[in-house]
Amino acid sequence: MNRRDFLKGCAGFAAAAALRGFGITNLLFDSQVARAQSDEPQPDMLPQSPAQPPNNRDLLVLVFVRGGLDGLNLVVPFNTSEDDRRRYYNTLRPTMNIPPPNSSAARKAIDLNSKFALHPDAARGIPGVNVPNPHPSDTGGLFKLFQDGDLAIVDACGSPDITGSHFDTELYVDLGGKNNSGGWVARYLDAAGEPNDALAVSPQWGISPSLLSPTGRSAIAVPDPREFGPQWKTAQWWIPPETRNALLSAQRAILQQMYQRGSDFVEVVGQQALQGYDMLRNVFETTYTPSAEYLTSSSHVLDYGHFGNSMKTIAQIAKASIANPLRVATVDVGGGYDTHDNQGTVDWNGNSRFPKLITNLANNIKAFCDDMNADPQWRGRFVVIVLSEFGRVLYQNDSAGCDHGNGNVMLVVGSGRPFGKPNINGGQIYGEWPGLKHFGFNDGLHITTDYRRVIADVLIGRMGVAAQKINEVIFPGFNFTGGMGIAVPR
Amino acid sequence: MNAMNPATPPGAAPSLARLAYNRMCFGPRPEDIAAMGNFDLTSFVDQQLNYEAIDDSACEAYIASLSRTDPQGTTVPPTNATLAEIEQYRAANRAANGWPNTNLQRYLWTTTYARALLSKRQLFEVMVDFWTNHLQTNFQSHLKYWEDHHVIRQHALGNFRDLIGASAKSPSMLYFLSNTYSDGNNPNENYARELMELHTVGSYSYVPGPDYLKKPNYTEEDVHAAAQILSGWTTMGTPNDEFRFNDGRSWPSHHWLEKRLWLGNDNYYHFPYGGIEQGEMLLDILAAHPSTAYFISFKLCRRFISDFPNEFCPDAVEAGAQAFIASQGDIRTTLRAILLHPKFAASWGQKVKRPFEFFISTMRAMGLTTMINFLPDDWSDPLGARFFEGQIEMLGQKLFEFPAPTGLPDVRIAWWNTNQVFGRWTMANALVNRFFGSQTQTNSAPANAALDALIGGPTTATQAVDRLIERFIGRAIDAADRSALINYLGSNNPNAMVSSTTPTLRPTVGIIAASPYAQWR
Repeated sequence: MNRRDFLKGCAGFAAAAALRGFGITNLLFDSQVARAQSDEPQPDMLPQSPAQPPNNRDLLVLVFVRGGLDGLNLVVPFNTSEDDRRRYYNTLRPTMNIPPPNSSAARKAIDLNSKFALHPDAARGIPGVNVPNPHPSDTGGLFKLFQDGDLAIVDACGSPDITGSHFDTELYVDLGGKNNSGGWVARYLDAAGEPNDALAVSPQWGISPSLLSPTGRSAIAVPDPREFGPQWKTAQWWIPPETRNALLSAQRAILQQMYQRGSDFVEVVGQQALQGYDMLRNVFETTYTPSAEYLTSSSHVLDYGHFGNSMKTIAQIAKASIANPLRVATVDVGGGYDTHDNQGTVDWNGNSRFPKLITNLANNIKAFCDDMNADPQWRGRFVVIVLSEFGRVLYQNDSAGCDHGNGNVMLVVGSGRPFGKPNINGGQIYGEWPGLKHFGFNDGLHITTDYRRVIADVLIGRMGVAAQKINEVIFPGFNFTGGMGIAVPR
Repeated sequence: MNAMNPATPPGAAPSLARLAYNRMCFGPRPEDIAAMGNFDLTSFVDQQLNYEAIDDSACEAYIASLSRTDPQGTTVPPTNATLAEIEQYRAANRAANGWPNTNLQRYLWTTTYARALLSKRQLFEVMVDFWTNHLQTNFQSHLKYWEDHHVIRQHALGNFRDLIGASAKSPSMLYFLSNTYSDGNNPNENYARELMELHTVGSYSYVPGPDYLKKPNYTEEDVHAAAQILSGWTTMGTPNDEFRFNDGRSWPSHHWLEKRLWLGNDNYYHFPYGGIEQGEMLLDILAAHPSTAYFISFKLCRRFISDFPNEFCPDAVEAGAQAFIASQGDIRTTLRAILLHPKFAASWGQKVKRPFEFFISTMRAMGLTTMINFLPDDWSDPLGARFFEGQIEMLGQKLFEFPAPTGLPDVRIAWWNTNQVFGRWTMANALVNRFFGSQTQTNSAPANAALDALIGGPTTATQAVDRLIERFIGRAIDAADRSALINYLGSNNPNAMVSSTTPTLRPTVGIIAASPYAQWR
């Protein structure tokens, strides 16, 4: 895989979500940035001797599946009720259902709790699951995490601000509510009292909108760790290192003088870039050998390996010894989740779109967990939240796809239960199942759990956020009244 | 100063001429700067809008001179090729074990970048980019190659209804938003939704007043009805993916079913008949809807005046929308009202360059007359096409590849991030080294006539820096920053004579091109 392929999956919906004319006014912040930055001394050198991992709160990794993940074919309601089964299998998705666990099909869903079953490509590597096109990263995927008690599934989640538009709904979810300013992840860091330069990374082309900060909080975009920072060279353009360094440092000195005025958005971000470079260059100049196999091969995934590489980069930064520990990372996943046509079900053939989309998510989340858990210090110290803007409609259309729907699954991936240090109560399916006959917006699954309730549960239990900060700071406009018991309180 | 009125960039404000070249063109070339003395905004706008009258033969001759031979030895067809000619090429290139779509895309980059660099029809080129994003389709297939010439360039400064009509029938759009697969009985809603949400009325009313961004322009039922109305608009069953209306896939006209479209009104539009006329009628209605006029004007104001038109220039949005309505969607008339609105001239500090504008404006400031040809596979050239392709990709605005139907964002927060700081810095150095001779040492540098011409050298360090600031920035910068540049270039002697052989000159050009000052548009 070359860099071209690596980057290809990166731009995607993330930037698109920031496009919309009206929502975007909530995100502007020049004057506040200037105020927040102007009087603060700029640290030249960072403090020494880091304590890793951060011991006061878990690392938060937010995975936003852009495009509308078909949660009904990921977590299949194969035995929720007779009515559901009849409508679901026989009527609404006649050729697009996932065969239930008791079916005689070669590839079929794998039972989670006798009501719901997981798509087989989320369980690659589990004995009995038929695995076409095998790969070393097939180590049990989401199913293994569920079995181990490190995966909680929350069904029928969504945003009350939902519209039929990807871009509006994504933006509202990024903002944590339609009328909010800036991204909710940035406000989480505010609520936690983290300094403005707390390390927040988007391992992709640009930072996720959920990290856009009205208070001038720093966020670092890392499209490719091998080529991070300013360069007088790439693999192709070779200049002797001493020459390059001399030219670079001369340029840098003057550019830093220009940027450090910090009087507008352009300069503030320039400052952040130079600081981030100082912080991370040593991490990226050291070759990283992950302790698990990530899945980036284009014969298995449709995003040119972007997601797998992004998760690997997060692990690389988290496990590195840096003074300013990684607090949050956000990844935007694309590659074709907006399956209006030719969605595919379980077959790995010329039309294996959905199997590849699911394999990408499942194998790389599992790889990330294994990679992190290989370091005993990280066991029970990170949480990955996976969400999408909406699910897909209950019925298939005539082009073998599903249009925009409503409620959807959310995944909360924790760690440490097999090692006796659990941070979430996994191995369970949370949320109130509405049944398939209660159609919600757009004839999708009815929403019974606000996505923010799931996030709040994790933030309060694992990230040291006081409960009242949920409504006051992180999700203004949301009426949080209590968690769901997903997080194991510290 | 509040959030809606961003900080004025440090340094002096530029002249109106400079602002016009930054916004309506891809930045000024040296000869433009030389001619800025007697600038008149109205004449400039009118001259640029009347683009057919601008002699662009030099640019066209340059493009004609570029090699269309792909790495497999077959020949990419010219950009105005028919679908059949494009198919012929694809077959020939595949027979030679090539990737024809990659070659087509690379050649289209070359011509698009070359026109942005050299065409005198600059406003037209800016509008081509605008509509390419407004009616986004990506290069998943060769059909974008056809669409660029036959849809976007055909109507970029024409009539809006003609433009969306051509787009609705464009094979690239039909595939990109799935309408080609749609079937009247159980339609695919993808195109119908985005036609309304992104191409015409917008999801909420854009008409100022109490309904503004509150009243939905359509319901989910409207989306479904519109999808049925547009079903049968397909490419299926044609030899080269040409558009055709397929009655068999359309919403059955023999049904006495009535389609109603409310579009946020108290009364509905009535679509009693089947056939292609129904879809044309839908496009008529959407193009003439007042929310469309305001939405298009809003987006044009955002392109040319401010990231935040509603806060900074609602009166310009109003002027553009009224012009759109009065002229029944004439794009020139709409654009003229916006560009000659007083808010345009007062809008310094409202826009930051996107990577495309940064890349081309840097080349224009350097006075370059050749574009990189992206078609050849020149891996052996350390500063060749493949290298620059990678750098452009790193900057995130690789033309015709954006996967979302919104098109690329047009506001700074979506673009300006830590990665841009590094990427633009690298790109500035790369362009200097590619076009002015590669510098691989700190103690010597190769002589280069073009670089000497750029600074008017040999000259003093002070004069060279001032000249570079004029070329790349076009306004006075902070005195301390200017001194730092002069001291670096002249090795602490402001009067030192410098030329292309001065080792500090190329890095100085790189700093100025990558400086925060040069990012403003």
